[in-house]
Amino acid sequence: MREIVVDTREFEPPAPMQMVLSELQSMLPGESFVHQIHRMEPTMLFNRLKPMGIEFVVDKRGDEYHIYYFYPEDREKIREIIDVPGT
Amino acid sequence: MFQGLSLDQAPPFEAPLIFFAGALFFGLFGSFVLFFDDSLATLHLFTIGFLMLVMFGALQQMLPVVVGVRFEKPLRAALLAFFSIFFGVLLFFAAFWLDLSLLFVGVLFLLVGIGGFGMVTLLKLLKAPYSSPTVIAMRFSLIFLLLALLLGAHLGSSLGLMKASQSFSTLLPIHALFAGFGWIGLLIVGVSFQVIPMFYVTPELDEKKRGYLTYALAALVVLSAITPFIHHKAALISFITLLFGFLFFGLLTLRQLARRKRAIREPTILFWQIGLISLFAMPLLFFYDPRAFVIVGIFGFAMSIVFGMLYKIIPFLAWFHISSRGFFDMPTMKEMIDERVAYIQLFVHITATLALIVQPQIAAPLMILSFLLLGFNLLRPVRIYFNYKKRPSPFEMR
Repeated sequence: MREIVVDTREFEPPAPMQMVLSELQSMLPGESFVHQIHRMEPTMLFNRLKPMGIEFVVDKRGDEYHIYYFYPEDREKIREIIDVPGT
Repeated sequence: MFQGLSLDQAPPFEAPLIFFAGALFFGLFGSFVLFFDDSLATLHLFTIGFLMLVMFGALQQMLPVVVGVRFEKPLRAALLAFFSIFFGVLLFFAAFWLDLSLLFVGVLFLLVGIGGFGMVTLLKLLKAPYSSPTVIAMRFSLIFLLLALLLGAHLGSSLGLMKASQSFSTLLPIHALFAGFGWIGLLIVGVSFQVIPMFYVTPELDEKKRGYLTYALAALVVLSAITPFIHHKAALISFITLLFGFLFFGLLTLRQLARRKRAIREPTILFWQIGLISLFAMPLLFFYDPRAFVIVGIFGFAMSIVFGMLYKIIPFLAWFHISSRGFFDMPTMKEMIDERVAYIQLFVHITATLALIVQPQIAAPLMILSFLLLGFNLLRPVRIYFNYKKRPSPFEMR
């Protein structure tokens, strides 16, 4: 699966949300997932995902948050790829 | 680790807007009243009428963001709390001018509005699926709010009965301690942990540091409330330590702001800096000028930060709600606010605060101007939001 990396660590709101939403438009089931690197949990963005039918997993590594966005049907594949404990 | 499908949807923009609009009304009303009166009654127009209403609006908005829970009927909850507090504050104020027995009714309204909203919010925070220093600080601040409310209700009722006993002078500073440092202070501390890294692209404070600071400040508020009944010197030491605790928070946050990754200048950062620097003056003012101590605490620290946050929260929410309906052609957050007006308001606000220490009648017109500038500047994002609300969503048109 293709990983679309979006590094939003140095952008102030609402740019991180805009950047991820824009990449989510091009995400396709079974083909790709979005990997956001951010300085905090983008909880306002999570609010927006429900109507879009997109799932996410958050992995905190040190000061950074790695958030993976994917379609529900890709859940198993994503678990294998990202290897985040607890997923 | 946080994972899941989604958090609940954010409450409608109208819910916090009701609180913000009411707050602006009380800010202006309080400023007018300063021409004639600067008693405790007027002070509550600013503390409950302005600060608390803004904080309730912000809390209602932040609950889904911070802990993933929300009010079941956010608009109804906002309206109920707002009107109870609105009439409560007006009656509380009117009682001092017309008839002290009105205090009973005012207190009753405040008990319903503040108590109801405070209890529900606290319960939601206690049941939150996960915790963080921000959540802990919010829980403490709401507990202190409820304690301040109960003490305030007792003080108000005893005044209404004309039975202000000796306990009145003992309980009044504890009420102020819970309200000022417990409720307003700890809430600002908790919210800063969340919004400073978010809005100003700074590193987060270390989680342990955030946790220790929250617990230490809460413990010092409790100690400062208990020790006056035990030993005078212990009470003084507790309170001074609390002031230095807040000063330390100011230092940490100023350093955090100085370390922001993009050194862009903008008015809201200055509002934060002025608010935090105000904390440095408080230990000295406590000994030399208690009146200035209260003014710098409320207007210098709390109000400066609240002004700064309103300039961020309102355009952000307007943008968020418009974009969630599928629009992408709206103005950016920066375009929604006139930064020059915000700088002018900041200057007027600082001057008004200093003038208030000297002479309330000089401060009154400046404060009116400050609130008018704030209202004028914040009206634009609100108008933009309502203009877009009238338009059919691109989602619906597909």
